Amino acid sequence: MTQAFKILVTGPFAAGKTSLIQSVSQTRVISTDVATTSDEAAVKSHTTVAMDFGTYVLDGDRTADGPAADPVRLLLFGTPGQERFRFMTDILKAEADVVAFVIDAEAEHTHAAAGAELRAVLRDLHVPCVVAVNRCDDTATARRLARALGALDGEAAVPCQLIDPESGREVVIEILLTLLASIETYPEPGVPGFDRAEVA
Amino acid sequence: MRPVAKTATVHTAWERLGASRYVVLDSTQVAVRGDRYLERMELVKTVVDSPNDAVAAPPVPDMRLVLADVVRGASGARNAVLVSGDGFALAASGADDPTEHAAMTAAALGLGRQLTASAGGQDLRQLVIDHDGGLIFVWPIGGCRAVCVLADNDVDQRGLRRLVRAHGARLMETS
Repeated sequence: MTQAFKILVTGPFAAGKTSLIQSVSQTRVISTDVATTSDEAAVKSHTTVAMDFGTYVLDGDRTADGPAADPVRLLLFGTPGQERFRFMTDILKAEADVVAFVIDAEAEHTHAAAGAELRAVLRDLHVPCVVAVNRCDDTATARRLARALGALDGEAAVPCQLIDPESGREVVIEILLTLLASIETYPEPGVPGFDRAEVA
Repeated sequence: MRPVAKTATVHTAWERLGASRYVVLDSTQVAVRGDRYLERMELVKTVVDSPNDAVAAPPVPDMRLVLADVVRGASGARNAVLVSGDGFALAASGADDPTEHAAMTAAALGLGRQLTASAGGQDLRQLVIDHDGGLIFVWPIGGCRAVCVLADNDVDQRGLRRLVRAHGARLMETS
């Protein structure tokens, strides 16, 4: 039996959400990219208007004395980034097991609103998060930014360069580790209980 | 080639990013040079050296009036909104704020196009939502806009379609 987990990939406009899903998905990504207009066109040429959907499958480990473990399937649901598409995030976030929050380290003007958004999503979902800090090479900076946004001390902050597909894999690894940790804490995956009370 | 960009858009981008040069991509897209964004841009057609070089767009029909014509011309049509593919309201026939309506239209169209592709189709022609309070039609206009019409259940559908088709070219013009 395959175990499937829902990963909500969200974050501000032009942070790298679609790039992340496209770089790691093993199935054809269902994407709703359209050409940008107005001053968003100065930032990038295309934007997601509804969702991205991709999957990542990890085959179960083979052990010397037993059958392979069940494969694990990550279902990656990417949201649009702009405030006007917030209703899509509200639709897509239901039943998510982990939030993968993508942020562009260099787009500092997006950070304040991104922090408010991350905290709001996590307050609703009660699941752990992984912060993918795009266009960032150093772990200390990524961690500092993730804390500033509202991630907890134990939560992963991954510096990455999402134009490079290999970098996306680093994020997936952290998502898998985070899932593993939450399964160990809460035997039934997806059961609410992740305590975020300490987050302001 | 002289740019035909919206002058206002050019100035907004210019001022916000404080760039020294900018690039006009097509009638609605503007990229700013002199910062890191340029390397991501595609389809660069024209480079303009200062905002003053931008040529004002020719007079275009008032989209609001065109949409009001559509709504008035088909009995049972309530409201029409012209939407950019990426979810901005370009104009609306009524007074209600169309911002969220526009974004939802673009998202529905985005998913509709994916459903079309999964069914082997290439061109989504219309999206119809039939609900207990009436009908919602979304018709793509050219490649990057759509018009969304809210209507009563007994709307004159033929008349409405004919009107939208007749006004299609005007709704494509840059306002």
